[in-house]
Amino acid sequence: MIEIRGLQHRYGKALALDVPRLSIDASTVLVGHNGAGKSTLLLSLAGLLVPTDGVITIGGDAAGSPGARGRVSFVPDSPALFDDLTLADQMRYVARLHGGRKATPAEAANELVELLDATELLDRLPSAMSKGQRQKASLLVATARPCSVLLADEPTTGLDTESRVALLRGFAHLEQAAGVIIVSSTHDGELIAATPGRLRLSGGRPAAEPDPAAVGPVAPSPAAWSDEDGGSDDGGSDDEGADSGGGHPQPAGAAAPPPSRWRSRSRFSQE
Amino acid sequence: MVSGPEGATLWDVLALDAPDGSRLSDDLYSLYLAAIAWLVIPMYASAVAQVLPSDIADFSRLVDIASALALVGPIWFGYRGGPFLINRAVVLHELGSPLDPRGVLGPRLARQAVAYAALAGLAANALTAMGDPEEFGYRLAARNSFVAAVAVMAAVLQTPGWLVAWKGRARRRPWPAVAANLAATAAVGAVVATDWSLGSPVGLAALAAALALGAASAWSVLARVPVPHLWRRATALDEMRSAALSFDFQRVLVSLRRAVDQTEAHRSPVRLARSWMPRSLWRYLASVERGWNTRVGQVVAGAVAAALVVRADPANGVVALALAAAGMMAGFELASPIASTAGQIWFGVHYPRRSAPVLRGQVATATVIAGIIAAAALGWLAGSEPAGTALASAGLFAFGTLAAAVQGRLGSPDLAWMADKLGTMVAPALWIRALAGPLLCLALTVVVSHGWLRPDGYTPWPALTLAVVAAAVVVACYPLEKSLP
Repeated sequence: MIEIRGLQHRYGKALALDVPRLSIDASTVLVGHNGAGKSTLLLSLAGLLVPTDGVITIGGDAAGSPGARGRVSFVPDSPALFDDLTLADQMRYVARLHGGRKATPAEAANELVELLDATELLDRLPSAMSKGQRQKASLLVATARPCSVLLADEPTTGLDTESRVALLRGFAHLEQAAGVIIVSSTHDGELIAATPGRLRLSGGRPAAEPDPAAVGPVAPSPAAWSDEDGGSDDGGSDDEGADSGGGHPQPAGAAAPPPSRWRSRSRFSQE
Repeated sequence: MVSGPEGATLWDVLALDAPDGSRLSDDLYSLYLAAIAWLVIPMYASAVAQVLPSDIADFSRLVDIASALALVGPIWFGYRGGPFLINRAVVLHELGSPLDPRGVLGPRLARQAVAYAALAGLAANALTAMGDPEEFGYRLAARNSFVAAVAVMAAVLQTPGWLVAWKGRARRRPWPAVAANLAATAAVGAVVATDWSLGSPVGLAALAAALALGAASAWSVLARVPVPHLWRRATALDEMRSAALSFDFQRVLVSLRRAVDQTEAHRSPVRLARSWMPRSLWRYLASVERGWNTRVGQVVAGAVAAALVVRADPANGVVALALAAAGMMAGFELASPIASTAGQIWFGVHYPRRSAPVLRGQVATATVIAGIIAAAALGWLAGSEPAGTALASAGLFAFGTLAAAVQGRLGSPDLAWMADKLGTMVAPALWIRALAGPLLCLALTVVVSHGWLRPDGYTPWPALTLAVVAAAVVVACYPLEKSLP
């Protein structure tokens, strides 16, 4: 679905992204430290950033072209919402932008409203939402239109634990019911563990996954330290699981099994 | 009707629940206010004209020349990023939809063109009335306003072409087309500026041609407006709205990060290269960054001011206005860095919290600098004839300092805090800040007309006056901030 060839992007003289060759055919999570190039790659895929060099095609169409735009929906790291429309109106509006006057929000989006427990948000303006609620709204608006690829830049940022779990269920639902390929960037250990494919970026380049045997014991997560129940492992997790080596479930880089599904479907080579 | 490949038409969407649905009534109300202002503005302008001895022909000619120049203004406007200040939701959802971008951006462009045209018409009317109230008539004002409005509207319509040429990333940019358009526009502008009257068929045809050129240019390139550029710009706007620490927009990049973090600023290795400067002064001066183009503009403005001070005849109202405007700019720039905020959108400045000490220091620094130079000018020129020379120098910098203080206080963290807490309720305060510049310009005009701001031609110290103004420009333009890590 997504093909990348010789992709490079520089901010001034700094090389931010260097992906010689990559194919993504299944949902994939981008992991890596801050500045690793995750957001740059997502923006390039969304056609919102013109890379310095290279080619990206989505379903055979160049990223940013009308054909690719029709296939790709993007959830930016900070919500992009219309200030003067309620959430329900925004979902309707976006559906009509893509489907015509009588179009309604995609069925998957309606189900996502239930999964994310966002029914009460439907009649609210963005100004009446909290940061986490706006993040949910941004995701709902992005899924209100039919798409085959959903790009999400740190979608769990600002969400509470329950919402994160619900989001994971929503992603799984989108993937299974609507066949959407979800490419997201995150530091969230749960999202990393729940996503079949994984691409680690380091210094803008695809990097090999660390050897689990070389990683030391898992440290207690900050979430566990601050747990009111005394630090039990009942679902608390931290946002830095991928990088800090803590959190529950096990951080992807430390003890999670290799992403066999992605590796079987995706391929990239470093030149 | 614009339609996309999947059948969604612009009307289908916008007629139902378009986010901008209320804009039409807003725009009509704005146009109504503009019409009222057009009728009453000559009364105020004639009062100003009492202190501006000038021939109405000068002002009329000025309107024509300014209109002709406006036709080539889009080159710069396009280079700076174009006319579209749309938010990220529009970029993401509307420009990301199958709709033709012309259907999304076209109405916004037309809205801007009309708004700028209305402003140009008002300005032309005011200038006409200031030229000579006794000869003023609404017929003449309508003629000048019409020319200015159409010229500016055509100019705004051409902006997307230059935006695509400058910022587009396609392999084939429309350079030949925009160049041909520019040549044709310049020819039209020349006709308008040199030979035109209300009933002239040639003039009317020229104006119609300019408008048609602009419309054709906009229609041909709107579908190619670079979406990544619009996204980057919309992101910058959103970050500004959410009190981000840096704001890159139009002409300046304001960054108070290091200003807030005193320790890091003082550790700057580059500071050692400027060891002659007191540390605190360095910190207060170093928080505003500018591009080379702004500096060129500053130098040109300073040179014009200096030339006017020494050579021009203030008995001409146009010269007096130009001198006042240039003097105000020099004063602003001298009182750097707070004065530098005049280069921003006035009502868009949003300082981060905890920057109050820095801003207080900036105002104090600006005041000290202006005071020192003013005192020096007073001391050196006190014995010169006429005595107004000294007052002229002092007044120039005093007004600049006043402007800096007003800008600084109204853009302070207090206001940022109020904006956070009260939202649009503080909009009047922001607008007062925006009005500070024009009010000061008006005040300077009056001062100039009375000869308080300009040494006469027979002053024994023209070179010194020139040196003072040039020093002001140098101080304002010295790239201190470029050295910060």
